[in-house]
Order: sequence, then structure tokens, then C-alpha cells
Amino acid sequence: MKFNYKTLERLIPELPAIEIVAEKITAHLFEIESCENDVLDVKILPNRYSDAACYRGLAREVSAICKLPYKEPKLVAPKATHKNKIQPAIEVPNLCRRLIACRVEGISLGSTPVWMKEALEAYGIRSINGLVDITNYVTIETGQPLHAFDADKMEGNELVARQAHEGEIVTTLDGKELKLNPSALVLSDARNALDIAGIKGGTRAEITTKIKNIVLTAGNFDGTLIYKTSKRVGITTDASIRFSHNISPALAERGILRALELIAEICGGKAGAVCDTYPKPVKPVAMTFDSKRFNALTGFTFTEADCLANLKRLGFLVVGKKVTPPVERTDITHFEDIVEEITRLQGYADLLATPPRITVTAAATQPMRRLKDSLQDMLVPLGFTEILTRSFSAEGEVALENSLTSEQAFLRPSLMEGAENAITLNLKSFEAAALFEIGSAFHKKTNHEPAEEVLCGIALASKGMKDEEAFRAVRGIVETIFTRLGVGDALFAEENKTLVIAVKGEVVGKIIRLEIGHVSAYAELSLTKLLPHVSPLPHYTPIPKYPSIVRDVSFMVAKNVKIGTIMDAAWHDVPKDLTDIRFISLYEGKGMPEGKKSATLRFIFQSNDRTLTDAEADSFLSYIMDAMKEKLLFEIR
Amino acid sequence: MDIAGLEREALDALEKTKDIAALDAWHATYLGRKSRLNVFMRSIGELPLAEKKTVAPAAQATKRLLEEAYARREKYIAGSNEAAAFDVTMPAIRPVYGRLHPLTLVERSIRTIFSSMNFSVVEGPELETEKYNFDSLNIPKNHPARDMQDTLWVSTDKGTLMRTHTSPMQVRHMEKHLPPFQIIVPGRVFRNEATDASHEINFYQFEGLMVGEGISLANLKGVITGFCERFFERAVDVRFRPSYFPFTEPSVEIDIRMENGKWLEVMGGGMVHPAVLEGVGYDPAKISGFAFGGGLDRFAMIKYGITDIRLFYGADLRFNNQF
Repeated sequence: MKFNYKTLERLIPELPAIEIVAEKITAHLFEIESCENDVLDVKILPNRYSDAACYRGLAREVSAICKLPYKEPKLVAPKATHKNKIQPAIEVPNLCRRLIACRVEGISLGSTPVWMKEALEAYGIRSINGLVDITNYVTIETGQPLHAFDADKMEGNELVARQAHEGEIVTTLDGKELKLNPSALVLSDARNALDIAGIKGGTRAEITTKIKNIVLTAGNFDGTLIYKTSKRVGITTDASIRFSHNISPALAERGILRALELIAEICGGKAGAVCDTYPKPVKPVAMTFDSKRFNALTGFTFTEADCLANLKRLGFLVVGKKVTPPVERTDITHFEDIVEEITRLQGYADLLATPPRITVTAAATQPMRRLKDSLQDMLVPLGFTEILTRSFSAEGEVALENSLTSEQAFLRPSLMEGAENAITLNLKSFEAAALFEIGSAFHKKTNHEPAEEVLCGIALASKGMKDEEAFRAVRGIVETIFTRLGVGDALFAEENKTLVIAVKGEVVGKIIRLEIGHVSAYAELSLTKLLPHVSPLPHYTPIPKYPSIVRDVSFMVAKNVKIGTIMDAAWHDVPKDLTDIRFISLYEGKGMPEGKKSATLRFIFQSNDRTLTDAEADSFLSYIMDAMKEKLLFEIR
Repeated sequence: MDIAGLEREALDALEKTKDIAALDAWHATYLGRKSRLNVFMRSIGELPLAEKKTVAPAAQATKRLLEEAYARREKYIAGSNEAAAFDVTMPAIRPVYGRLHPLTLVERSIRTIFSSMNFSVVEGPELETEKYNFDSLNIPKNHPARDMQDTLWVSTDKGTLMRTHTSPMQVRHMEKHLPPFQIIVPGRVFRNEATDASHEINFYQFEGLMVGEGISLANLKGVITGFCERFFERAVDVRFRPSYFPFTEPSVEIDIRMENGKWLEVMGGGMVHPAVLEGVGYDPAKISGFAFGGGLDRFAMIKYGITDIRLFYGADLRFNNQF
């Protein structure tokens, strides 16, 4: 909110220079957005909007901070000089807590004094005429929104705060026709609604230049009601913002009396009786101050007298240890609120940085965080660079209700889109890109509830690589990771050009080729699913005592037979002393019969109780060959 | 004939050959057709049988030995030529080594510092409920305090949202643990804002929480000062300013003095609000705690001199590879 320094100075004549005021406010109250040309732009915190978003509120604070005298003016109701009075009625006292009205007759619009214009201009309100300016100015001076109706357009000398009728129409001052329902509150005369209470005036009893008699009103409305109604009808006004922050009903009286004072000065006319309907007057609650608790919570070592003196400066009523906040301070409800009042007024500069005395228990890191850490630590030395991409996508299973753009209308179902975009981007600058991302993706569970899953996406692309090379490299990364994480028994099965990775029957990830016009491959692992299978603690197995025997065999098969099929056939039935089967090479070139290719596999035999003989290895091998024949058509080359 | 003497002589001579020409000459002398050894061997047939039996194997062994030595020497000479051609000034072949994301580096350094102060690291869900993100943090429905954070709501499930801060983990952790404890919660958070150089739709925060008996605001200042000095590796002035967060009371903004002398806001914090403590069944008369939160991106930007937050999420290796 923008405050005019000169207006503030009128309230505190000894006010220091604007820069000093700005500094003090920053240290003890609010952030200052800017401070130039006699205008202080103050960022009012949401809990203080109810009392400090006005000149009087700020003046109370500044006087307390700077230890300068400031007196809340004593306002008195003017003597009624005519007998026409209008007593407001409240139908819903929980929504309209107070309503005050006063009929002023025979007024002129008047002309606005310069000081008032300056205050309005700083705030960003255009000066219109004396009467309108007074209602606006009093709002920013006291924090109480006011509304004046043309008394001659009102019917039946009635003013009621009631729920709107179903379908009741109010034409607002800016010409919008709004159809209301009972969830909105209106001020109404004998005929129908005059405004949307606390939000916006209507044209029915609008003030025009021909004004003679007015009904000036000040109300107090439930914050939640105003907040909800304002959102629903799509109208946010200065008044609706103030009421949404739950201002004190006490302000209504201050507001209307101050306005009547200014009207008498500027617009003339005769005021009638000020009629106040206030069914359940709000009383501030006294709290007991406990300086021991204060010092324990803050770490200060203040005396009770120091603390109470601070509260007194802020306008608290202090009787013994009982402290009562000023009536406009609707934000003070807990002892801790009082603690804050004292600490901020005293200033945090005096607060000594003190190490806590803690009970030491071993600090821990969650298993998922540790898994993410170990993946990062494995992938980086393997040549992969970590990226982070946004959590949104144009398509997905979990939609957002209020996304700003259609490209970000869904939560990402996978990290793949981010990886694809990153590869495409980076191959413009580099020959190759090796990337990974660890992050959450989102999908719908079978019961339609959205669910979050932690994924690790690993992408590799290179202009220099041959087909399948990237794919094999990425698979190698995955296998290496699994070995290092102690994930045993991972199965890689082909399914529609995708390699599906399963551990103990559960799918934990996949490897696919990216369709981005470069040799590339992408693996995605679900860390959520992988976590229970991780056992990074290595288990010692004795080092083999006996030598191994190696046999390389070249299998000639039809060209369309996949290496995976040959490997599966080889593993199909093996003797216990076979320790590994490795792929060595593939040959498809010269010298091969038409439609054939040759794959060389290495069989490694080793026993843990004796040295195997060549004859034994040969017999194991022929056993395996025989078993393979049940699964695969091949010739040995 | 003295075969052993010949062998010694031949090996000594071989040792002295320095190039292929010398080696060829040596070969002609000791293993050539007219060499003493070959001439002798051709004459063995004429010796008496008994003598033949002892001399022949010895001559053959010597011949084999010399041939092997010759082959080794040949390889050695060839090798030393190769060594001369070996160019140690050829440029390096560098292994490919990836990089961690700068936010990961900063997060790790923050975690390390807080771990050393006995904070445990916990993480929470990004997809949150209204209850944990707002209600349990004393941010009531239909209150302007909710408008402080532009929320992304998930439409498929009412009351579900993308967490606007890491603070929900305060309540989630307190619900399951009894004080005293101290935790640090790093994680991704979301705001429904248009992106620019200083705003992102997703970014990272880290949340700290210490709860126990006798925890004070001065302790918050102590912990934050200790953290900042280790993070920035210099003495750092820390300043508290009044602020408002619905879930802390008193609430403060935390500024640090930059090397240019200016104050910069880096965190928010305060004493955990009694309503939040009561909500998880703690007694605010006995238990107190402080909480704080900061933007990881902000810390990374300060640390590395980065001026545009969007770079963190652009996946451009020209950026990522710098860290």
C-alpha cells in the first residue's frame, strides 16, 4: 500500500525523515517496496491488513517504533440537527456484525482539499468530488470502507443487511448486471438490493452530481463471506480486500464519525442521528503475560517491565500481568502473537545467535534418498550428466485444474518427453549427449486416485554411433547399475521393440529407442518399484580356487533370429559348472550363406571343487548344444 | 669343439648388436650356413657313436638357445625403433564424465551441513493434499493467506494439489515422531505462475524443523548463522526482519549481507505456531520448535552467479556441464 509521507506527518508531527521512517518500518514492521517522492510503498503483511493498511494504523506503529507521541483522535457523534433517522436492521448477525447509518441532508459535493488529494493520489485513487473523496479517504485513513447512498432514491426509510434473494439482480456502479443467490449479502431498502455488501455499490441509489440528501453507511462483514462472494462474482475491490482480512467492527464507528466530521467541513449539510446496530459487540480478550515463557521462546532475557512497556507503546491495555490488545488488532489471538509484538518492536538485531542444546540421536537419510544419491553417483562417472526438466506435459493421466498453458495441462506421466527434448536440443551443439534425470512422474491408480512415482530416466544419443550401439550401451548401464545395487534376477524381455525389465516378476522399467531421428536409446527405471529389491551391501563369495575353461562357439542361424533368442536357448538347460555365457561377436558379411548370420558365444566352465578337464568341458558343451537344439535351429561353424 | 664357449661368445656379441644390420651380421657369423656351429653340426655324423650321443643334443640345445636369443633381440631392436616413433605429445583422449545438476550440488552441500548438525534428511510427496499443504499449517480455507501462494490444483481428484512449499513435511513428520528431533526437507515445489528470469512453475526448497524442549528463536538464528557461514565459506551477517507465515509465530524474514554490503532475503522462518503443534498432538506449553525454509534455486544462483532461474530446467548441456 502506498502512503503519502505528508499525510502521515499530519498524524505524527515529529515524524523523522522519510528514509529513516522506511528503515524503521523495515526493521520492525513491514518490507518497504519503494520510497521516493514522498511516497512510501509498504508491503502490508496479510495478518496486519486488518489494522495497519491505513494511515491511522501505520501511524500507531510508527509512533510505537520511533517512540513518538501519537494520539488516536476522540471522535464524537455530531448533534442530530434533524429528525430523519434510519435505523439499520441486520437479518444475519453472524455475517453482518455491525451496521451504522446516518442521514445527512442538504449537502453539496464540495471540493477536495489539497492534502486529501495528495493522500488519495499516492494510494492510486483519482479525485472525483468532495463527497466521494471523503468516503475514499476515510477508508485509507481509518481502514473502514464506507458507502453513501442517495437518500432520495431509497424507498421506505429502511436499510437491511440480508442474504440476497435467489436471482436478485444488482447493477454495479461499473454497469455490470449481477444475478445473486442467498450466499451473497446485500444492503437493501424496502424495494430491493442496493449493493453487494462489503464488495461493490449498485446504481439504484448511486450518488450523482445532483445529490441533496445521503445515507452514509459503515458496516462490518464476515471475512470468509466477503472472500468467497468476491471470488464467486469475480469482483475484487479495495473494500472487499479489507473485509476479507476480517477487520474489527470497532472501525465502523471510527470510520463513520470521521467521515461525518469531514462532510461537515467540506460538504456542509445537516447530520441526523447516527444509528448503530451492533447485536453482539466484540470485546478484545485479555491474556496473561508470562515473561519466563517469553524469554524461553525467544532467547531474549528481558524483564517483565521491558516487555510490558513495549506492549503499552503498541496500545495494549496493561493491568498487572493482564494485557489486552487494541480493539482493531484482530490478528492477536495467541500468547505467541504477543511474543512477536515485543520481539519485533524491540528489534531482532539484539537477538544473539545461540546454538541449540539438542539431544543427539543418530541423524538418518531415507532409503529412497540414498537410492537417488547412489544412482547419481554411479551415472556421473559413467559419463551421464544430470538434467532437471519441468513436471508437466501436454498429455498425461493426471490433469491440472488451473494450468496456465496447454503444454502444461497435465502432470508428466514419464520423464521421457523431457529427455527427448533435451537430446534434440543438445545434438544441435554436441556430437553426442548422455543424460539422466531423477524425478517424480504421475499416473492414475486403478481407483482413479492420482499417484506419484519416482523415476530415473537415462538417455543416450550420438551422431557417431551405429544402430543398436546406443541401445546396447544403455542396457549395459542398467545392468551395471543393477549389479552395483545388488538387484539380482533382472529379466529383460522384448515386447513391441521395447525391452521390458522385470525383477522378481514385477516390471521395474524399460529400454526403448527414441524416435528423434538420431541413434538413441532411453531407459526408464521406477525407483519406487526398484527400492525393495535393492541390497547394496555386498555378500562375500569365496574366490574360485580352480581354473576356468573357455569354449567359443559360432552358431550359424537364420538372419531373423535375434541374439536374445540364441542367448535364451543357450541358457535354457545348463550344467551347474557353467558359470557364464557371453556374447562375443556377430558376423553377417562375406562368406555367409544367403539369409544366414553367425553369432559367437563364449561358454565359461568352472567348478568350485576341482580342476575341470578339457574332456569334461567338451561334454558339458555338447550337453548344452543338445539342449539348444530343442529351442533353436542352428549349425555350428 | 667348445660348444659352451661358443655359446657364451655368441651371446656376448648379440648383446652388442644395436641395429638390424649388426644383427644380420651376427646371424651370418653364429647361425649362418658357414657358421662354426653349423659347420660343426654337419660334421657330427662322422664322429664315433658314443661321442655323437653326448655332443649332438648339446649342439642342438645351443642352436635353439641362440635362435631364441636372436628372435628376442630382433624384437627388442624393432621395439626400440617403435619407441622412437612413440609421440608423447599427442593430445589427450579424455574419458567422458558426467556432471551433477547444480541444484543437486547445492542440495548436497546443504544436506551435508545440516547433517553435520544432526539433522535427518526426509523427503515428502510432490502431489499433496489440501489438508497437509494448507489446513494443518494454519492456513484456513477462504482466507487471503491462501492467496500468498498461487496453487496448481489437480483436477482429477478434489483437494489434491501440487505442493506449494516443503512445509507439509513438517506436519507429516511430526505426526509420526516425538520430539526432540531436527529434520531437513529438500524437494521440488510448484507455483502457478508465468515463468520469467526469476519465477519458475517448479523450483526447489529446503525446509528445516527443530522441535524439542526449550528451543528458541535465538537458536534459529544460531543454526542459520552457522549454516550460512559454512555454505558461503565466509563470515556472514544474518538479519531477521518481521514477517508473516500462518504456520510460524513469531515469523521472520532472514536476510544475509552480501559481499557488496547489500542485504538479500534468502529464507523465511519462525517459531512453529502453537496451532500447528496442537494439531499434531504436542503441548505448546512444553514443546517448542523453529522452522525455516529457503529456495535452493536462490542459493544456487547466489553461489554460482546465475541470473536466470529457467536455466536450471532447460537441460542445456552448455549450462549443465559448467558445474
